[in-house]
This record gives sequence, C-alpha cells and structure tokens, in this order.
Amino acid sequence: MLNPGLYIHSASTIVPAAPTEPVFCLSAQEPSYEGLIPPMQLRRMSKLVRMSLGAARDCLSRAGAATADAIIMGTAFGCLADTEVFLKKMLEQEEQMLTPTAFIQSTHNTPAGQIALAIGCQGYNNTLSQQGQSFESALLATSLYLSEHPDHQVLCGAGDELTPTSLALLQRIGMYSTEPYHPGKHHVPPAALAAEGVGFFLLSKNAEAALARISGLESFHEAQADKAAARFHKILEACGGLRNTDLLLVGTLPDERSERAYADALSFGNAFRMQSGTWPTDTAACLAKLVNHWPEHKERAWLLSHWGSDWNAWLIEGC
Amino acid sequence: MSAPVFIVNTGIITAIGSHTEASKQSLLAGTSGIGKAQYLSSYWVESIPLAEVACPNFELADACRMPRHLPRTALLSCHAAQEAWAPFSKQPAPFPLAFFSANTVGGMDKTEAFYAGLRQNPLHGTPADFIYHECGAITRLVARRLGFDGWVSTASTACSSSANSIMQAGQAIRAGLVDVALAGGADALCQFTLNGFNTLGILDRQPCQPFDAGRRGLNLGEGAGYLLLMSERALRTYGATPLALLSGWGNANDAYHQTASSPEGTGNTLAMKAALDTASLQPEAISYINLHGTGTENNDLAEGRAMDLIFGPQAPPASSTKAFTGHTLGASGAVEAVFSVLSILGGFVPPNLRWKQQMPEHHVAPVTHLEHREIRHVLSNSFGFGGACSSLIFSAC
Repeated sequence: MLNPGLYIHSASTIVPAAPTEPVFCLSAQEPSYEGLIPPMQLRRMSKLVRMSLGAARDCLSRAGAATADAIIMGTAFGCLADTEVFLKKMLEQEEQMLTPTAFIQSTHNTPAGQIALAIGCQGYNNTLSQQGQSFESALLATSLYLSEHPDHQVLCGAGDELTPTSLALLQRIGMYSTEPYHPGKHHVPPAALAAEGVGFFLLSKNAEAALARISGLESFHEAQADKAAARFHKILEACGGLRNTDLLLVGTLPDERSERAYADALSFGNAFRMQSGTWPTDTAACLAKLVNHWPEHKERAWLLSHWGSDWNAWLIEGC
Repeated sequence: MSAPVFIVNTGIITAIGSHTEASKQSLLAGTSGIGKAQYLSSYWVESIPLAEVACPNFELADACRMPRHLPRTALLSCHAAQEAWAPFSKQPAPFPLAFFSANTVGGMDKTEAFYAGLRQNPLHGTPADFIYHECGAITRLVARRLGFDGWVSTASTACSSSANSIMQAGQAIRAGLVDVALAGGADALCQFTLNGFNTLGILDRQPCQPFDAGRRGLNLGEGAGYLLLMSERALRTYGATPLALLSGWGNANDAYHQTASSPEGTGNTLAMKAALDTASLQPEAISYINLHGTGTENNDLAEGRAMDLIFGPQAPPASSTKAFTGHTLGASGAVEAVFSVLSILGGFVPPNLRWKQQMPEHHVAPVTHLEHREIRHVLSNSFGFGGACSSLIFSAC
C-alpha cells in the first residue's frame, strides 16, 4: 500500500440525500450556491461544473483559505450533459449551424478550469480520468505535486454527473440496478443504485490543524469479485488487520458483486456504508463525509470502493 | 541533483508516419501530412483539410493485435505504445509497469455512430458500441493488451493532455515511486471534435501557417505518441541505453477564459518558467523550441508574447511541427515530445512549413528550412482549453 502522507485540512461534498422511500436513482442534493457562485455564471454551468465549483469554494472557506496553489480533479465521465447536447445537435442538424457553447464546456477539464478562473489560481491544474480510479488518480497526482512543492496546498476533488442516457446505458450493462432500491430492507439488488456527486479537499504535507491524514492507498484492476476480496484481505492484513479502534466504510449501497468482494471486511463490527448511491468517483464524497463527521474513539478508517473492475482501498487516520 | 528520468525509446503514429523512423524521414524531407481525409466520415471532409493517419481501423487493429471494433483512439494508442515498448516486451518485467496516457474524447467515434441509432431505438446496438466512451477505458484497453499492470492513469486536459501525462510520469520516476513507465497520449479524428472546432471558427480551410502574420487557424490531426521512461535502476536492470532525458516540466493555468489564452500569455509564461526551473536551466541554454503553434490568431499571439518575456528578442530556433501533423489535440504533447527527442538525436531543427510573414506583435521568427545543429535542450509547449498550459524540457544525455 502506498503511503501518500497527505493531510486533509477541509472537505466538502455535494451528494444525494439518503433515500427514505424506494428509488431507481438518486440526484445530488445541490445547495442554492448563494455566495459560492454568482447567479449569472451559475445559469450557464452544467451540473458537474457547478457542483465542483460549489464544493471547491466551500472547501476553501471551511479552511479559511482564499485560494490554493494547485487544482487537481478526477472525473470518470467528464461533462456528460454538455457532451450529449453537442452530439445530439450535431446529428440532428447534420453537422450544420452548430453553436460552440456545449462543445467548449464538454472538455473534461472544464470544472478544474472554472475553479481556477473563479479563485484566481494560476498554479498547476490537472484533470485525471480513469474510470473507477479517477479520484485515486487525482490523489496520486496531488501526492506527486506535493512531493515537488512540499509547502503548497492543493485543492483536490472528484465527481461525476448522472444523465438519463448514462443511467439507461449503465443499467443495460448491469452497472446500475433496474430494480428500485428499498431503504431499510435487507435485500441485495443485483447492481448498484445510480447516483452522482462530488467531494473536494484541501490537502497538504502539513499536519498542523489537519482533520485527518491519508496514510494508505491501493488501487487495482480485477474482473473477479472473489479475487478482489482476497486482495482486500491481503491489504488489510499487511496493515495489521482490523482493530477495534478502526472504522470500516464501504463506499456503496449493497449490490451482489460488491457484497461478495466486501464480505470478509463487512463481517467486522464497525462497518458502515455510504447511503448516497454509487458513481465512479463516489470515494471522494465518501471520504469527505467521513472526515467531516469523524466518529469518536476511532483512530483509523478503512474505505473500500469499487466501480466495475476497478477497486480501491484507502487508509485514513484521524488527527 | 534529482534523480534522472531517462527516455529509452519512442513510439509514434501521425499523418506523417506510422512509426518513429518514418516520422523522422518526413520531418527531414519537409513532407506535410495535411490533406483530404479518406477514412473520417463527415460533411466537412470536402472543405476542411485534416491530417489523418493513412490507415484504416482494421489495419491498425491487426498491426497491434487488437479487436477491429475498438475505438480508433485505442488502436492509434496501442500502435504507438507497442512500438515504444517492443524492445523490452519479451523480457521478464522486474518492476511494475506504469502506463500514463492521455486523450480528450475517449471512444467518441464509436459513441457518435451508436448515438444516432439510440435516438431511434433505446435498445439499439450492443455494449461494445458504448462501453469504451470513457477516456480511461481507452487507456485500460491498451494497458491490458501490453500487460502494463502498475499505475494506470489518463490525463484529460484538452490540448495539453499528453504533456501532463509525460509530466506525471517524470514526477513519479523522480519521486522513486515508478521505475518503468510508458507515457504519452492519443486522439483520433472524429465528427465531434471536427464540428466543435469548426463552430469556434478556428479551422483553416488551407494548410495552416503557424506563427505567420497572415495565419488563418489550425488544421486538426490525429495520432499517438509515447515515450518509454525509466529510472536509473531500471535502466541498469534492463541494460538499456538512454536516448535522452526528460529534464523539466511545468504546468500552470492562465485563469483568464475557458477557451482563449490571455493576450499577454500569462499561463504560457508561467509554464515555461516552471519547466526551466525544474530542469535548473537558464533560458539561453535552450537550443530549440517546439512551439505549441496551432496557427490560430489567439494562440500564436499569446505564445509569442510569452516567449518574448522569457527569451527576449533573440529567442532560440523555434518551429511548430503542427504544420506537418496538424493539431493532434490530446496526442500533441506526446507527438511533439517524440519530435523533440528526434531533434536531439539527429541534431536538427524541423522547419515551420509555409511560414512567410513576421507577426508584428512579438519577435518570434520560426525556422523555415531544415537546420542542422547541435541540440542540447528542447523546450516543448502544449496549451489548451480551460487555461491549461504545460511545458516540457528534453535534454541530451
């Protein structure tokens, strides 16, 4: 397990509310963005851009920081809604009389670029996209940047938006469930509950006034759930196994595949699940919630996540 | 002194050649790849020149033993990555193999074709038509095909994407976290990007003239480029001979506008300065600058002004090789990284084709004819949407 040795100074997240009745998918519960994004700009922004900018700004204000030295974002799907708008018009209008707005906003680095513009950050700016390891790629990029600039602070986050088309297609390939999710019922649907959201962090190498420390990260690609389970087991064992003072957090609501992979870990008494549904970068939101509500008497937290054949194990220490 | 990052091999495919040696011959002969596209299907193919790789998908697929139905970006990526990795692919791998790739629109060519049918019928097509849409899916396909099981990531920062993936590989090797990495990127032409750039009104209807006072815009191209990078430890283990060094990198954001560069080139200046700093070099040490030089009004103005700020009126020899390959978008940083290595090894400055007239706003006068000279350090620029500015420096061993 790699030890990034990064400190979290603030965290912010925009996620769906935990469902109280049966649902097929969950939309992010967005704030009004008042005081975070000027209304004129807000109207032009896609959901992923406004969620990212909103969480990034909130993250800075929680830390009492005006800006950051660098911005690093992870997203698996990028700006899906704008991509689809341009694609649809291009096909309908047979490549004629198109306007550039949706195309311009469709690039993966639109959120990170907009954050830079909003907070006046001319430093390092990068966007990583690696399916179920997009946030993890952004975190590793942050770790590399901070190894070169040990005194800097990085705004690092990740997120994805859900669209009607992405929902339908991901349901077709069994990533998302076509059955409704019944909160409170001990029923394991075959696939995950579709959702969307973002999580952002202010990270540095400086322990002072930090909320938590990222002490371990291991990402791997594995098509078979039982092999992934064995790998998780090995990772936990190598770090001394689960202790009473540990918390185990599983970044998804139950589904058959992850249930098999997490079975070993889930038998541990201190296991929790994030109740906001699943998306490829949900680890970021999960981690943000964790550090903002660090449970008393816990020293470490394990965070296990998966999306398709991408699996991640995080080790977080409270400060 | 920080740990060196060795460039051990290169792989490339663009409109001017399907591998490194062919690309070098085209650069030396001044043969441009810009013309009428044969394989891309679009209304605009008749009127907008493009720099297409002269190879249909099935030939690319067969050449790199990939299924023929995969997105063209995956095929181009695998073709070039395979070339860079070939000398070592049969040897046992004592280190985890990292793959730092980049692209801007993933499997968009497949998505375009699929989406047309999906609008008629919600159950249209098969999963293979859309599951490679993500940028990261392309990278994973190639990583799996080549057996790269270490760190896998995809930078997606518009036109600077593959400069950022190379930078990340450099950082990872310098930090001692990675010993062997393939780093670069790929992008195939598709209707989506062609129409997108066309709506911006920045596509030249003739072969482009980067850095010319009368420039009219850019030509889109496609391709892939990869550097095989190794730590000193890996170099010894493999008994490999380095070609050159990746010595500097810088990334900055213009924070000015979503698509346009600030007229004074603030982000560009910051990126070049940061690259010189990481390489511990003074501006006068640079022997050649491979310009971003897209040929648009805005880029060449901002880039030229930034160069005046750093280099003064006597800038080192400079040229934009986009006059050969078109703008290969997410691949351009890596394609031009391979050209930078060729320039160091062959001791030449490739010409900035079709340049005629000095821009009045700055002093940059590109090299117009092939020049032979000793090249010690090459600065290569890549700038893009979202204020993305990245610069890399390559050095002779």
